[in-house]
Formats: sequence, structure tokens, C-alpha cells
Amino acid sequence: MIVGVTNIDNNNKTQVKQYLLGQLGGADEERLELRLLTDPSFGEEFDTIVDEITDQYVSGEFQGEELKRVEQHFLRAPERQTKAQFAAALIDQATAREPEPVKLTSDVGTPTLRERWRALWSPENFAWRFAATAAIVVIAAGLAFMVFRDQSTYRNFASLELTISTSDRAEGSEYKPLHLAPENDAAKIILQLPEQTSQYTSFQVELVDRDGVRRPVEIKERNQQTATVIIPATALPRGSYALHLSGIKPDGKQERIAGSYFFRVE
Amino acid sequence: MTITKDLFDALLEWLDPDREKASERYKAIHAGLVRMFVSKGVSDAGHAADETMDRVMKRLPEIRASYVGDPAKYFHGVARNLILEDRRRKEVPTDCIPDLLTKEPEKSEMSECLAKCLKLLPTDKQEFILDYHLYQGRAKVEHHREMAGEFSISEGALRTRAHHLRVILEKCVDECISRHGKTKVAPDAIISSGGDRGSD
Repeated sequence: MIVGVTNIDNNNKTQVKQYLLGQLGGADEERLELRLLTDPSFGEEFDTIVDEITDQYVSGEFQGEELKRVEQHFLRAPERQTKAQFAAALIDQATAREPEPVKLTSDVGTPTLRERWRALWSPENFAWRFAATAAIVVIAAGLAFMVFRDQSTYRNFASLELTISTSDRAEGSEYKPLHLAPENDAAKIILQLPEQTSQYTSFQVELVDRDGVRRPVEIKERNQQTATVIIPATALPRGSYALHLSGIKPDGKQERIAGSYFFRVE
Repeated sequence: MTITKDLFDALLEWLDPDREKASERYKAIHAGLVRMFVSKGVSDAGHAADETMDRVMKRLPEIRASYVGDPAKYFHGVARNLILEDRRRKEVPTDCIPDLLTKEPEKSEMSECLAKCLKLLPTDKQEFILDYHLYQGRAKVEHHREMAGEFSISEGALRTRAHHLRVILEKCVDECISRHGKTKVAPDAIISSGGDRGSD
């Protein structure tokens, strides 16, 4: 059974977000403000959206124009700035905490999500570990197939040329837009190689998404100035990405080349 | 004109003849005003909400007989004027980045206080709020969906539950910081506090 409080619909949620980012005006703004004064449950929903935006901001999920709006409008009041500091501290605590030993359920009643997850991986749960490991292997093989399969089968590309940015974390404006149309099978991305890379015999490229998930990408063509990669459209849902370049030295050692190639799929 | 008990009673009477309902409406309007003022970048939102209430109370004897419609609309109009006055007073260039974001003054104090306040929560609530904030981006969305499933509640209810705990923690951290990192808030007081208020 799903038990829940009344929640505002997506349209209202969008309007609250617009209001919080200073994008709502006229009659819509007045209507929303009047609802804030008359409907306490709406006020509570409003607060959860404030929490969401705050968390997204401190997690670096906003970019470009949206980031500017959050900083100039949403965070204008000192209360919101304090809230952002609080959210940053809370996220730090959540991500930095040490794993705790699994408690016996007789001690604490119903185990929490985290405890149940840990219990699944305990030595006693051999069958689960075997099944999960096998599943991971199959999924990894599938993903590798998606990334490495013969890219000559792709016919319709969205093309993009990128130069390396010296930072590892992009400002919004550094993300070059990639317009992936429904008819595009793949993205063809030409990477301008930085200067002084002649010491490398070959290169490797990794695609990094916003969650930090890394996947190797095959270089299809290379000359002294550029390396071209082809990435299947299915591996590029909307969002921001970075490509990391590594050079392979004659002795076989791999060396990460500083900087990233940033792009955003639209 | 000073605010008297008679003026306050008249305001409640205007909001609703039933004193209890009037009191609820008063609280709802005040909390809504705080949310509105914070959203408009007014520096002291709580004070601005009080000021709005005071102005309406003072005007009430003149307008009450002739005013038609929901009193909330009148409060809204007064609040909009206050926002305009605040903007005229400040005239801050809109492209400036808020100071606090660039200097991070009390980060360690905030973290210390938060750690203390978290310990005052029951274990299951600590686990819940930390689990809720474990991931970012798409992983967060998926994780919240799983958590909602585990607790057999909607994702909206999960957000609300997390929000209530945040309100409690924010209040505790605020008190802790104002006592220079020495929180003396009794656990029971923290756990039972909260309720509906503009949490901004």
C-alpha cells in the first residue's frame, strides 16, 4: 500500500521552481503567493522543493544560466545561504560516514535499508553474492558490447569538435552543446589534441557522466592534431559529460592528460 | 499607532469568527509571508512578516467595513509593498554573488553542530536522513524511489519526511551555532519540535 500526503502535481512543481528562480511573473506569481498564504500543505510542498533546489545546488547539479539564476535569485536571502551551508554539511556527513557493523534485528527492530543492503553482501549470503556477481558480469559485458561494438554500423552522426579545457570541473559555459536528433545513431566527436603530446604512442579516452561513471570510448581515427571518437546515441542520455584523455608512453605506461573535454547533450 | 490587544483581537475576528480557526489562519498567513519574503530576497523575512501583520492590524479599523474578499489578498498586497520598499532601500546589483557563498565562514562549526544534532535523533531517523542524502544526480532519484518502495510510501511522502527531519536538524544546528557549538537542546525537545512553519 502506498501511503502519502497530498502532493502537488508536476505543473505546480514546475511553477514553484520557476517562482524560486525568479522566472514566474504576473497572475501566476500572484496566484502562487496567495496559495502560500492560505494553504499550509502547499507551503510544506514548497519547502520540499526549496530543499531539492538547495541540494542540487550544493551537489553542483546546476550549470550555465540556471546556475546563475540560483545564485542571483534563489540564494539572495541569507536564510537560503545558511540553508545551502547546512545542506552541504548534511551531504558531507552522509557521504563520509564510516560503514557500521550490521546490527542484529532483534536489537533494533526493523532493519534499515542500509542494513538490509549490507546483510545481502554478508559472507552468509553466498547464493545472493554469486547471483549478483554473475549479473554484474553479464551487465558489464553488455555495456562493453554497446560501447565497443563495430561502430561502422552507425550511419547518422551528430558531430562536435572539442578543445581541451584545463580544468577538471567545468563552468556552465564550458559545456559545448551536442544536439542529438532522433535520427542520429551516434555522436562523432573530434578532440583537438593538446600541444606537446608527441611523447605518446597512442591515446585512450574515457567518457565520464555527471554521476562520475566512467566508460572507455574507442578512438576511431587519429592524426597529429585530433582524435575522433564515436559514441552510440544510446549511451548519451541528455545531460553533461566530460571526456578524459590519457596518453600511452613508449614504455606502455598510461598518463592522464590534464584537463577535460566538456559537452552537454541536448 | 501601537499594537494593542483590541487590534489583535479585531484582526483574528476578521480572519474568522471562530477564534481557533482564526489563529490557524494567522499562523498560515505568517508562515506564507516568511516563505514569500525569503523567496524575494528580503533580508529579515521573519521581521518583514511581523511588519506586514502590524500594518494590516493598524489599517484594519479603516478598511474592515468596506473591504470585500479574502483577507489573505489584503495581506498579500501589503507584503508586495514591503518587498518594493526593501528593494528600494537595498538596491543591490543583481549580478553580485552572495557573500556567504564565497567565504564559507562557519563550515566546520556547522559540521560539528550537525554531527551533534544528528546524534540527538533516534538511530532510525539518523539512518534515514543520511541515507536520503547519500547520492547525487540520477543516482539520487533512483535511490529515493527505492527508499519510498522500502517504506511503502510515495516519493512525495518520502520528501516530506526528509524535510521534517531537516527542519528539526536545521533548528538544532541553528541553536547549536548560536551557543558557540555547545548544544544544550534536550533530545526530547528536538524530536518533538517541528510542525508547520515556513522553514526558510
